[in-house]
Amino acid sequence: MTMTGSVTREQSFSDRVTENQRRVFQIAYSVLGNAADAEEIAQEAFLSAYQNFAQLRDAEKFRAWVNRISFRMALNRQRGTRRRMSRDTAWQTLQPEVTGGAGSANARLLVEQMRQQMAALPEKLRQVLQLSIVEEMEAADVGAILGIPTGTVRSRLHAARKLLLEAMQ
Amino acid sequence: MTNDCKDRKDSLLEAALTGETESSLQQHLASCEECRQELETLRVRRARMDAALLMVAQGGPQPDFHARVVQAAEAAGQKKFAVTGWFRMPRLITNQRWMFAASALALALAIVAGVVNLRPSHKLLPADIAGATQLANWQSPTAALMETPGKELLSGSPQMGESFMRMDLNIVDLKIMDLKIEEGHK
Repeated sequence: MTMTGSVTREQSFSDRVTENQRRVFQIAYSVLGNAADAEEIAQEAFLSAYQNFAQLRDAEKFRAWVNRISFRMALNRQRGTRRRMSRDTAWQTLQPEVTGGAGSANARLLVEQMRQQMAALPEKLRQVLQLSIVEEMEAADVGAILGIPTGTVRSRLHAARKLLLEAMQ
Repeated sequence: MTNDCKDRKDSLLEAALTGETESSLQQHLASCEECRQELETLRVRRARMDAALLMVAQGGPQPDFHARVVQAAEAAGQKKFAVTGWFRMPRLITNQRWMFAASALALALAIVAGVVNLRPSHKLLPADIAGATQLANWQSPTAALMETPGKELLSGSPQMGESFMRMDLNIVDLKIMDLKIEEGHK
């Protein structure tokens, strides 16, 4: 019985990772802009979920929890990175990695510009924008992660996009 | 660009973002080539912005990410309860619910054991019997003093006007005492 329970637990966790890994990675990536760091954060988020798996058996609970924890962990990592950069290597600039279809030089330039403009946004607007651009993330999901109403998510997203559009040349 | 056009900058941004043009702006665009061009430029920028935002969050983890996460989770689970040999804790106990139940059972057993241990034993030892006998035979010093002649005279409290020396003497006794006194005088 113990073996069966253990196997079921391992299999359930494996299934949850399969279902959520892409989004969890994207949430971390949208904050950090670095694939290696994003993978590390995503892995930490899943391990943390594994430790609390007894309470996260339900798929929807697992999804909401792991979304939130990956975003929080990514924010903490980002703040730590910023502090280190400002202290030790302020002269260096973080080179954003571009994955997927952004392989051309123009695309890289466009993405880099977008990252800079996003970084200049007020934090509340930037957080909503970062989460909203992640695939499958509805306003309700973003609101659940940030602890704000769905209407507030929509209004902040609109304000962020408006500022970005104004800043684009 | 007129002042009227400058005032419509925000409306142009809204129109480019939402794709909806309010009626007053529509009337203005009908007569203003410059604002029509500005709106078209903003629409192109908006398309570039959306593409850039998509690329920012594009991609996924490495193909071996899933395997690494599951492996790390198993390792973490084993490390958490890693006790080798006979004392290795079964996985059943790693479940928090079972941990709670096991703790409650241990506490209940401890309470029962404590109660049983505190109950008085019915078996008397010889030392206990000797001590009890000694205690039963013990008499206070006051009891010894009471074993004196005439103690019955002190056994009660006198009433008003009575003497402590309450003596029940009859007439015959008094006459005998008188005779003895007279003989003594003689």
